[in-house]
Amino acid sequence: MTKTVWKWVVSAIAILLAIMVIYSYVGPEEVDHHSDHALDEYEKAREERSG
Amino acid sequence: MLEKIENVTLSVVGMTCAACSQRVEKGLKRMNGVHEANVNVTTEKATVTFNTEETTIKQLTEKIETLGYDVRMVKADFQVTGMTCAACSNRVEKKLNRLEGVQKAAVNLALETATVEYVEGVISPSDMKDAVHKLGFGLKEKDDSSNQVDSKQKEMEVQLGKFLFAAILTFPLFWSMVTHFEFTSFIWMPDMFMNPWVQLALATPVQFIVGAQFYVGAYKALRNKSANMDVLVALGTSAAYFYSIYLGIEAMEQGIVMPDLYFETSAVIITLIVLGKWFEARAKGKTSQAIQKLLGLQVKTATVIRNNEAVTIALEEVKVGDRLLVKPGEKIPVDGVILDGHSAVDESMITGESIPVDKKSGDIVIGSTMNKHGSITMEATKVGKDTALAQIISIVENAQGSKANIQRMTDKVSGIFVPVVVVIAIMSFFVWYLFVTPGDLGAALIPTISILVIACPCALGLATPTSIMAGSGRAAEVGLLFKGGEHLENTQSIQTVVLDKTGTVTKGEPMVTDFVYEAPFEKELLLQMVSSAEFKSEHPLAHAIVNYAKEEPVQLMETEQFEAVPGHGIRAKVNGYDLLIGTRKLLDDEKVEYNKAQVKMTEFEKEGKTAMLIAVNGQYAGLVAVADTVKETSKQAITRLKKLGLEVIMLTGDNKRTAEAIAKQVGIDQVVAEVLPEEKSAVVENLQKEGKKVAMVGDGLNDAPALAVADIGMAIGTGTDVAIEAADITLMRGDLNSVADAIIMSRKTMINIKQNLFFAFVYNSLGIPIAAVGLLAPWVAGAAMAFSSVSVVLNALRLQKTKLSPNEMERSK
Repeated sequence: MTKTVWKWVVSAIAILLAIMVIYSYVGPEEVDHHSDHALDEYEKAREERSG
Repeated sequence: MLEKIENVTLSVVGMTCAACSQRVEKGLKRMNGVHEANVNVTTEKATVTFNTEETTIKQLTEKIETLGYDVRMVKADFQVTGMTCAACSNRVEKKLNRLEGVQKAAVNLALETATVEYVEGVISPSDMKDAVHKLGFGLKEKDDSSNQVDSKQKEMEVQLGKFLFAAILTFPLFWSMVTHFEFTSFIWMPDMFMNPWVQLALATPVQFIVGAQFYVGAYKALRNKSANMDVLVALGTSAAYFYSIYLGIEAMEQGIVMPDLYFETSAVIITLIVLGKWFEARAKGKTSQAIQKLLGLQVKTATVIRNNEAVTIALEEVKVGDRLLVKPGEKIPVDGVILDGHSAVDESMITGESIPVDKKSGDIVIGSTMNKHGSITMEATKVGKDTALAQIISIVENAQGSKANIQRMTDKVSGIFVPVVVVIAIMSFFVWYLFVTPGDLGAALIPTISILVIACPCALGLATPTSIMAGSGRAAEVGLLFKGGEHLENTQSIQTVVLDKTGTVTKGEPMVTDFVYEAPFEKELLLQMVSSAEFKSEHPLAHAIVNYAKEEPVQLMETEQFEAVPGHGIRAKVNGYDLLIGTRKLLDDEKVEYNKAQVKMTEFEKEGKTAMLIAVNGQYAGLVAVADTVKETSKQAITRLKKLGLEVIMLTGDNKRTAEAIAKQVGIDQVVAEVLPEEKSAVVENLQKEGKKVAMVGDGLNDAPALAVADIGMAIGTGTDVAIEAADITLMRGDLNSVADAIIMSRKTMINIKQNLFFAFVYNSLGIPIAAVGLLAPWVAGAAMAFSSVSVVLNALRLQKTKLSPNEMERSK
């Protein structure tokens, strides 16, 4: 891979990492799949999505 | 007033489909002074014929720029020598800036350099060198690497980079989409990627950084009141992207944590289309391999003999008349004549003929061919643009850039395709929104996006030009030079092949086989007079007699009068004697009695020899028989032509008996003999009147009218320049197998074009209804669209592997 190609790849990885870091600080709390309530919510949302 | 008509080929950047090329073509044609414009999306070339008094190249480039495209400029750095002050650099700079085709020139006195931005194809560095040289300065290229190849390579790297960039950011979105389905719901996925903000952050760079090229393309097209594939891609992906933002905002207001969004649709479509573009660029690069191979044949340096010393100089510095030294294993730098030495020369790179040709003093050699054995000294006769290789490159480039008739039709179709598709997409949207899923904007949008994406006419626009490029490129490799795409297209419909005899079926190098003299004339004196008279003639039979006389040997005498009687012979006065040498008709016209010769003459003719009567001072004096030998490959080639279902006719000015004897040797059943040069074209026309599509194959000056009249004219490359000029196809190999090869190549190319068009049409016409009824997910439409373009180009590339000459077929077995 040439320098030009690497520049694009590194930029994409940097954006992806930045999103992940920002999300870890400002994103909502992780859904607790072990809690019954959260699991219900999660299943409901998934059903909605799959139509 | 006499119009100054000029032809220019400009490299146009930014065209993505046939609609773009149509727009540029129309725009150029509307300009004052432009007579003809031909734009090819595959080669990215615009060929314009214009009146220089009404428009300039600068205006043409400006027009292309206002249409939303760019003309590829080549930036080259030069070393300037001989400058001493600012006035010098100013003069050089002004001179360069004034040259037609130079966009911008800057000269740096301190560094002694000049940076010139110029329009490729209009002006070359050597033109600039000449201009600067006239001012008294020197100009030398700093870097001879091909700028164009570099820029295309760079473009490909950027496309690959963009694809990887888009792929990395799209992957999480695609992941989230995959888990939507019932059968894939078991796949684990971090919640983060379902978050609308995260999806927005991932999709935005793909939409506006990678997708910027589509927005720019669409803007340029719409500004010029037209539409292309960029419009469709920009419309489709924007609809998905902005609708997702709208849904995201709505979801937040309603407190929904994981709304149903379509960010992955736009991102996946863009990623796949960029991937398709990268594949397409790579494959397109391969279709022009033929040109790159030809360019690669050129040598960089030559050894010149100056003041009895061998000096190595750059190829561009070789001039006509220079004496060059070529050692064994070296390439012959330019076209020329051997002065000293003999060798075997491998001309396969030019003629496709694999057996090396023996060359001796006086023989012509072609530049870029390989000197195998001996060391030779040659004189340069053609340099630069005039060499055979340079002309071959120019013919192949023209053929690859020209349009076949079938392409003009598809260009028209793809030109109106985009607006029609947009209308269909809008109609589909309303049908879904009002009737199928009333009030559901998202459900109505999905089939609309799919229609916009699947209907891109890329495959349609690429179908013909890629096949023409690959086909004519492959043909050039075996020594078949088609002068235009239309000839490649028309050759397949040929029904009748008319072959000239001398030089085409036969070697065209006749030799004297018999010399009969009648008392009171003596052989030596008669031969002396006959050869002296024939020395003035250009006819191959005359050369045979002169060569025979040289071998005897006899001394030539002065010829006082000479007159060629076309098709019949010559009239001359040598040493006070009136001479007639030629056919029966010539002697009949002069009322010379030659009964004694009849029996012998008939005998010679039955053997396939050409017998010429000699009369001195109105009295029959003798007979000279000349025979031409048949080319070794002629019989095999004619069998191949017959197997292809073609009618083969031999045409000659020779008498019927000689012609029939030759025809019998090679297996030709139909012969038209005793045809005068001016009647050859009439024979072709008569065949055409019978409704036949006729190809004429010839090599001589006298074949030129027939070559021009025929549906397809094929000139043997070893023949005269006039014949090559008049013909549609040049057969670089002297071998008649090339005729069959040309027809096979044309047939295969046309089949390939039809396959591509069929695929492209079927794909678009099936894809649209499937998308309209909602059975095609937008991302699948994106993948299918990318695949369609790539598959069309890959199918065209198959032509590069076509097996042609019998030797090749034999090898492949």
